[in-house]
Amino acid sequence: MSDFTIGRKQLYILPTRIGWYYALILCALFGIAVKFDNQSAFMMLFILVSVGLIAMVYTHNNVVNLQLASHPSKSVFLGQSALFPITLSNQSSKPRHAVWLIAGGFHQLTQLDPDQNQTIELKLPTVQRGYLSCEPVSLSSLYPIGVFFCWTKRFLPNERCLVYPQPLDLVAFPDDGAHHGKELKSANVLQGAEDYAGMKAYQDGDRMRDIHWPSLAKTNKLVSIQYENNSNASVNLSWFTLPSSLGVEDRLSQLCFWVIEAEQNGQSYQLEMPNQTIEFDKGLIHYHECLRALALWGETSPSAD
Amino acid sequence: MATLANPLKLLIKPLAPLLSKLPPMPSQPPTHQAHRSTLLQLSVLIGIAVALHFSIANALIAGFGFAIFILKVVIIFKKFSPPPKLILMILTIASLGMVIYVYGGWNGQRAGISFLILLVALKFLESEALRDYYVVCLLLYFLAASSFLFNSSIVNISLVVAYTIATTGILLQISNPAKIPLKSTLGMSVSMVAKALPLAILLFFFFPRIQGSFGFLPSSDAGSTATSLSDNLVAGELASSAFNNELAFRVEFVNGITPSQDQLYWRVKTMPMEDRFQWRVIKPEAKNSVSKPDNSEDSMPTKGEWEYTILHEQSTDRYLPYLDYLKTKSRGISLRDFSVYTPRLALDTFSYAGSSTANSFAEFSQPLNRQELLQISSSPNAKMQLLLNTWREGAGSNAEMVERVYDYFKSQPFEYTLTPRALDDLDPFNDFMFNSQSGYCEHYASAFTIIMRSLNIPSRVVVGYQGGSRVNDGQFIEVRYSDAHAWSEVWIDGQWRRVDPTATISPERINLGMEALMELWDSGLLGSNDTGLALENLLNPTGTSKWLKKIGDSWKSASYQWNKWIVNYDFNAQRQLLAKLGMDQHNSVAMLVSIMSLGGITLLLFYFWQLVPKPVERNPVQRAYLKFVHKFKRHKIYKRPSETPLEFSRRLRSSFPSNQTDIEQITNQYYQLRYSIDSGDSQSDIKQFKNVIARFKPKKN
Repeated sequence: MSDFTIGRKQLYILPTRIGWYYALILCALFGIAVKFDNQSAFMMLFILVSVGLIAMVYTHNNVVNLQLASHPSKSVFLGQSALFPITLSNQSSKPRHAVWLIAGGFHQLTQLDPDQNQTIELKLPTVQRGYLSCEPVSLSSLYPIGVFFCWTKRFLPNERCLVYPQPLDLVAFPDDGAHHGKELKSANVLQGAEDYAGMKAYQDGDRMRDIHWPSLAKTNKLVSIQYENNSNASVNLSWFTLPSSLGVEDRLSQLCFWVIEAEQNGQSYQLEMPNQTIEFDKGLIHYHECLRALALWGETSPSAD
Repeated sequence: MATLANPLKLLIKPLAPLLSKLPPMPSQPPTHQAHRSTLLQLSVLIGIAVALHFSIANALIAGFGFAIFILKVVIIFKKFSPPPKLILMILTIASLGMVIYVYGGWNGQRAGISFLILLVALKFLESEALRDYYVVCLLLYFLAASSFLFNSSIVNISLVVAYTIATTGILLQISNPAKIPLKSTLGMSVSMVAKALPLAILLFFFFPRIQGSFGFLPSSDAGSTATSLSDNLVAGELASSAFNNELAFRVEFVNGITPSQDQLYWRVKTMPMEDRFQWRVIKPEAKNSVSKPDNSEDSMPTKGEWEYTILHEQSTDRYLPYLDYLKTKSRGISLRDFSVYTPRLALDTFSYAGSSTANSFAEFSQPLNRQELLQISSSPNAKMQLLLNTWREGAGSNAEMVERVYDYFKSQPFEYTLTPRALDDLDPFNDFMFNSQSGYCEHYASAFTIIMRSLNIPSRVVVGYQGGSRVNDGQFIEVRYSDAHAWSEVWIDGQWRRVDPTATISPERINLGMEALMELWDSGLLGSNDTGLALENLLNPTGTSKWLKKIGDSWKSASYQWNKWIVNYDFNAQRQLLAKLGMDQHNSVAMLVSIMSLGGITLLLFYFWQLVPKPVERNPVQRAYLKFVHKFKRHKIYKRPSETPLEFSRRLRSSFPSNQTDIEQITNQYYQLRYSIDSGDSQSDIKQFKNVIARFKPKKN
């Protein structure tokens, strides 16, 4: 988390193309006023000049003293957009109109009432696995009449998003030693005979079908049903069992797919990689540990924290 | 995209090193479409502009513009796409042709504004992207400003300012991708224009006026609507101007010393050439009317007792009105006959100063052109000759003869009328003297002057204005074309004397002024028995009419001030203002520029300061707590906006175990001071709370 206040020195302002047209119109009006020695035209000219200058003040003050703060970003799979939450806060007594939050190719228009915060999720495309740093963020505004354009220095949030490989199902799920358990589990599901073990608060990664919907209606909370550990459902997801025809990225994608599959099935799984092995386990911590290992495969320090 | 980009790039090129120091601009946000409600509002504005154009220029062009406008409104309503390029091209060529056909070319204000209005309508029709609508709005600004070429009145500028506010409102809506309600848009644009006004006024008064011309701009239309007094006096023509209520000029007397109504003779031009009861001026360019240098009459001109400034409406007359008898003047060249001639016509209203005196004075040094001043083409008939002889006989002096003629007009049943009958073509003079015996001032002036010349007294007809209506208890005088008047000047004892035969025929005209006379005329009371009573009512209004007169007076007064300070604020007025402010006039441009930039920058800085968003007011407890939160910044720990102080403290406790008790205490105290109802001795508590926070130091173990 880092933050950034837009002071006067962080703010830049220039006329827009429309602003130059406006200046052109004013020049023409000046010519007419001088040519016909028409004082009312002079008055009008100066009113328009002043409106332009006042617009500059408005544009500047629409963005100055805003504060930006970044928040940690959640990991995503390659192909999904990385989301970086940025809080834009207006701790002043004036509303801010039409402020653009821009990062890379991402644009989001916001509007802030006095003393209001707003959290905007920067949506950035992911193009490769590994860490994705947040793009520099800047604000810009054309408010009020579009003759001036102001923008801020770039604010580089100290955030990065871990991008997991894109899950791809290329090879059948390994059934070495675990085939039996899996079959059994599927049978259980079919018969509705999985062993009920209790309820717990919903957690990211819980299966949709395990959510106990009636309690949602009653208590307005997501509750998932826990089933007894199926001890014999364990699987070894190994780099080495993959066909040699697959490239590195495809292998990682496949392993990623299997990790998700195994976690979804509630199996215990082990990830075997050339440089490390993550022992049999299950649950979200284990799940993310495996995915991180896949995401950072080939980085200079594979065991990066 | 690239249409105007290249010249702009050239313009920016020298600035490139400077611009490169700026941080890179962010990528452009996507443009949006203008809202339909905005477009409808814009079309209302354009509709008003086109409709008003009917009153300025040709109906054909205005009608064409209106048709284009209607087409666009249909397109907006039905959500059609804009017409194809070919049709637009044809329409553009058609409108060009129309302007050339109607005005016979490009030049001229009317042609220019007509073309502009067609341009706005066509651009509006073509508009699709946001930028097109921006350009339409900018053209509307320009159009509103150019309407001043036709009308600079206070009403017009109020309308134009309202129009500017509305156009700014449209720009506001166009440049904001989100929809904003009309009411807040209007509020915004009113406040923007209101903030712009002080700056505009400052610039207006101190922007150095230069006198130059831009040849490439359309020149003003020749023979525009401005009126003037004719250079010929034809019997019956001046009478018809009695119904022309148009303002000629306004006069403000400087020291509050105003002449009485019967002394208000505004002399414009003299007409020495007579031809069958018609008079005309001698053009100053022609033969012997040598224009006299300003200071030849006396080396040190002394001011007369009446000092005044005249604010003249636009006029095509080259002669300027001054009060009789002129002493000093600020504009124009004195001619030998004391009329004042200006070689350069003003394109708008103009102002000048003068001073005059009640006493006539001799024509200096130059020999009188007796032949010219005695020439007559109307010969007196036998009856007239008889009269002339009786006047000549036994008269001791010319003055006595003048007196006798004057008395004759008084004793005979001459009648004053605004609708004189036409006179006999061949012998109008005698026809008037013995048959018609009724006429307007020009008849009496003509007849009197012809008689004078027949008696061998040099004389001439003078055309000008007489009287004028006093506004706001005589604060200033308005003189209208209906006040136009003709009288005589006769050369007696080496002096030019003003003789107004109308004064004997219709004393009301001179003593009460034309306005009163017209009122009487309208109510049919002129010359009847009830004249006295009607006059009484007119001069001392009661009840509603009194209020109406008051309102009318203050309106006239406002528009006088407007004209004086805004419409006529030219090069000279600016120098006068500087002098009034006690500044050096010789260095005026530098002076003006420095005042203007200094004042402008000060005002802008004031706006920056005043409009800069101020932090929300926090109470002392909140401020102290924020100080506490900021202390963790060094350790890269920030309080999230969504976090409550309690949640924050929990988070802190895990990373700052050594500060645990302090953090707990501060958080508890904060809750207590901020939310508990009975915070007893709060002032000292707050002080203590502040002290605790001031002493607090986060220590990471």
